[in-house]
Parts: sequence; C-alpha cells; structure tokens
Amino acid sequence: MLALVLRRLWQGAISILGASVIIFVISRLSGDPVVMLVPPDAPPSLIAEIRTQYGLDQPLVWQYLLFIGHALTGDFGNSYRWQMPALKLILDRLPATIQLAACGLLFSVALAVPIGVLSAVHRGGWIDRIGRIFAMLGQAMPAFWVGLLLILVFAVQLNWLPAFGHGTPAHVVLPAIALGWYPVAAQTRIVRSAMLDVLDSDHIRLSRALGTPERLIVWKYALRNAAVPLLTMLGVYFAAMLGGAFVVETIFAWPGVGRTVVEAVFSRDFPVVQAGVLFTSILFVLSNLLVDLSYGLVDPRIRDVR
Amino acid sequence: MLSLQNVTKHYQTRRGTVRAVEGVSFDVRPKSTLALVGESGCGKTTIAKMILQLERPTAGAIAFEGADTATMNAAQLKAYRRQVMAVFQDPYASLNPRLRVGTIIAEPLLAHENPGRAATEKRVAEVLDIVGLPATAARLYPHEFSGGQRQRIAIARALALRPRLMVLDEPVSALDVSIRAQVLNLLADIQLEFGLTYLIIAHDLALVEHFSNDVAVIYLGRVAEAGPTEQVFAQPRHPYTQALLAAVPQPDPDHVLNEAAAAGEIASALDPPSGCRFHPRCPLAIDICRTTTPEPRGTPHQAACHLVEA
Repeated sequence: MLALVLRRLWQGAISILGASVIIFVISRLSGDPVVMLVPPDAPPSLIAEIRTQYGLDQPLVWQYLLFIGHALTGDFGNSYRWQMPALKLILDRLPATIQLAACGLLFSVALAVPIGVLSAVHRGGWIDRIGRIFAMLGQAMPAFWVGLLLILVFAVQLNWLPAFGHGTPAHVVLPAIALGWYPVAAQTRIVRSAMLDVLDSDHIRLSRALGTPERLIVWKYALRNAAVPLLTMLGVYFAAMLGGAFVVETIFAWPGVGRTVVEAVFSRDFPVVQAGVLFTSILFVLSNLLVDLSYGLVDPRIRDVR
Repeated sequence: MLSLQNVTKHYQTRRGTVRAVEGVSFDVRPKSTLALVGESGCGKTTIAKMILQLERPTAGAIAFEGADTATMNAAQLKAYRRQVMAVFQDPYASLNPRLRVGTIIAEPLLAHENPGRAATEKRVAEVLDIVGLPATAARLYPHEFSGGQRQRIAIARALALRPRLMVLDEPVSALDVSIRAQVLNLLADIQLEFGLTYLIIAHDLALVEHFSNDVAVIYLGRVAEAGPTEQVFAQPRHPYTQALLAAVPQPDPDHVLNEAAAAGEIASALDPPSGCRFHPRCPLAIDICRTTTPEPRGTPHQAACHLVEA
C-alpha cells in the first residue's frame, strides 16, 4: 500500500515538473511583462532597471532553475502587479475554486447516476432517449455559452438566482451547472454501460430468482458494482473541472484561482500564473491519487492486489 | 411436485423465431432428483429459467403443487420463489464480488422475512456449517475462496430459507474434477437431511446415472426420452439417447466409439428440422420421421420415436 502511494507520488512529481516547464515557457511567449508595468513613455533605463529587479534579464534556463529552486521552498515570488507573494494570492482563492469544482462535480454525478441507471434498466425506452439527449446537450455546448444562457434565463429573465458573485449558496448554483453539465454525457454512458453489464450477470439473475425486490437489485446490488468505472473517472473530472473553472469563474466573476490566473495572464504577471497553474496541477495529481486509493474501498478484490 | 405441461419458449430475433423449447412436459416427484440432459443449446437452461420465473413460457403451463405459476398473484409468486431456489453453473459469476459472503447468504432472508440482524447471522452460520464452511467465512469476500468453496457458498444461500425445490443448473461442471464428487456428495446429503427435491441440469451422463432418480433427455427443445434413470441407461429406446450413451468415454482402452451413432452437428433452433428434429442425424431415420413429429410413447419409460413400440 505504502509502495503504491510512494510510486504514485513520484509519478505525480514528474507530471508537475513537466507542467512547470510548459507554463514557464508559454507565459514568457506572451510578451514582456515590464511593458505592462511602466507608463508608455517610460525611458529605456527604467525598463532595464525593472527587468533586472525581477531577474528577467537572466538567461531563460537560469530563470527557470531559480524559479524551481525557490518554488521548492514554497517561494513563488511576488506578484508583479499586487506586490504580494503569488502563492498567498493563489491560496486565498483556492477554497472558492474547490467549492465550485466540487459543486460542479456533485451536479454532474447527481444527474449522471440516475440517468445512467434508469437508461440501463429501461434500455431503448423513452427515459433512455431523453436522458441521452439531455446529456448530449451539455456536451455539445461550451461552458462559457451555457454560462451565458443560464445567466440570461435564470438571472436576467426569471430573476431566480444571482448572475455573478460569491457568498450565498444561491451564488454557486449557476456556475456549478455551467461547469458540471459538460461531463454528464460521458458519465451517463459509463454508468449505463456498467449497469447493463452487471444487470446481465448471473448473480443479479439469481437475486431476481430468489425474489429480491427489483428496487434493491438495481440500486443496491447492481449499482455498487457499476460504481467502480465511474469512480475512476471522477478524479479525472474533478481535475478537469479545476481547469474548466478558469472559464466559468471568469463569466460568473467567481473569486477563484481560475479568474485570478486569467487576470494574471492578461497583465503578464508571471509569478501568479506559475503559482496558479502549478497549484492546479498538484491538485490534479492528488485527486487522481485519492481515486486510486478509493478503489479498494469499493472493490474488495483490488484491495488484495498491491 | 413440479409439473411442466407442453411448455414452449420462442424468442423473436432479427433472424427469425428461435424455437428454444417446444412442447416439453415432465413431472418432478417430491424428494427425488430429475435430471435434464442434452447437448449445449438444446434448451435445458431456458427450461430452468422458466421454472425460476426469469422467463415466461410462450405456451404451456408450469405448475407447482397443482398451482399454475402463470396465474399466481404477486404474493403467491413470492411464496413460490421462497420455496424454489437455484444454484448456477459458474460460482465465479453467481456470487456478487462486492458483497461479503454473509451478506450474499442473507439475501434471500432479507428479501422474504427480514428476521433481524441477530437471527440472520445465526441462520447464516447454520447454513455455512451445513455446507462445511466455518462461520468466519461470512466476513470474507467471494474472491477469497476456491471454486468448490464458492459453490458451497452458493448452496448455502439456496438453503438459507429452507426451500423445497432446488434447481441445479450444471452445479459442478465448472469445478475441478477432484472437487465435483465432494460437492455432489454434499448435495446428496442435504437432499436426504432436508427432504429436498432436485431438478438438475447436466451434460455429464456418468453424473446423471449416479445422482438422479429420473432423467429427461432433451434434443433441440423437445423431450426425446424420459423415465427412471436406471431403465433409460440400461435400455435406451431413442436413437439419440443410444448415441449419447455410446459417446460416453469408457475406461476400457479396447473400447471402440461408435462414431456413426449420430452423425453431424446439432441443428439450429432457428430453423429446426421438420418432423422428428433428430432425423437428419439419425442412422435409423425412415420417411415418416421427416414429416411427422413423433408423440412420446410408453410409460413410465417414454420415448418420442416412430420406431419405438408403445
């Protein structure tokens, strides 16, 4: 068990290192941050001075090594724009992002499990068809489009829910739907096919033969077996939602990591971009690790295979 | 105890109607064992599914102690299911891998009387003891047991509610040969101790000969020959039964198999042969076999063959 955790952590560290290289290089392709910091008519000497001050005059490789070296000690540098530690800026916004991603995931699973189960039970029936159409709609529309539609309908027209901001539970509803609708189709397919598989197994046939009520067979005995493939994907979806949150947070003015990083990209605030992306990748790796470990809880056979 | 009258099952598929079971009739006598024998695909398992109410017959009637199962209401059907339990062939597929053995065995209890936690655990321990497993097995998962032990667990589950009839669908054919005798002996002991009636589905003729009181030989969804096991094995009257028995490997190295007894492969239930369904493979077939379906003749040892005298 410990060996598994260590191996996964090691693999995760390599992924994070890779992400750090990519974000470091790409952010520097976006232009010169100093231009954003000084007035348009600033003398070249001032520009050169600021560049030296931030170490931007050093060779790129050296800059990267410095960045990684400091990052390992928890120092991601100061935000060019806000003059405060980039890490603190990200950490302050992290709870809001996790809240949004968790609500989005909850929304998608809360839809996908019942639709998937009922579609499998009534295969080819109207629930199966309507469920598929509903799920496909979410996959066919990009999150920013869904977000705008939701605001238009539920905030502007109906005035049921706030269009943007953060604070009350009502605020999270629309962004969570915008974020969570997309993976519903894929999750429904996973649940549906897993359920079809299980419902066709001998032990379910036996359950029927010995008179177990259909409700128990479907929702207790079969769903338990069909849950494993969905669980695998949940970690991936949670991680994807952390990424998807970048767009949704911007639309709904959600004060999370995503919006902060997007703003930082526009102002070429490299330390904040780097800290934000690295933090998201760390969460990505950790959520996948948790999923791996949770298999054992659901499937007793995996527990024994180390 | 259990009586099938002209039971028929057709499946509609894209390629046409599959005539899986056609007019099958037999009776299972109380506290005895009836064996259904035949090649794979002959309809044995479909018959078992209909008895277990997993499939509805297209025609005909299945009666349990005189009561037609087709006209039972929900409560009567539940009472029927309580008395009729099943053990399937593959003990790896028939036990839910996510549930503890105790939960698996308790499932019929939970479905029918829900006697409470303490009583359930007590009953689980009792049936585990009957099948020769320790009470501690209840806390483990199916994958921690061997095939033979799993089949014992499946038998324990079937016993949990004290049923009267057990449908055993190839209960030992998935097991190692060395384990088969143990499980069969266990089944025989249980039958004696609890006065159970067995309907066993098998293709192993040696097993059938020793384990069953009566036998029904099925060919392509029809009963070819039926009767007391001893008589059928001593004097097979239907050419198909004769061919089956001739094909049984003998422990005599000089024994020569009679390959000509039944030529060719079993026909498709999608388009079964006219008349006697066995006629294309029958070495003794005459004209009438191609046109007219033979009625079963003789009692209690009956054979559905034009060449057999009543």
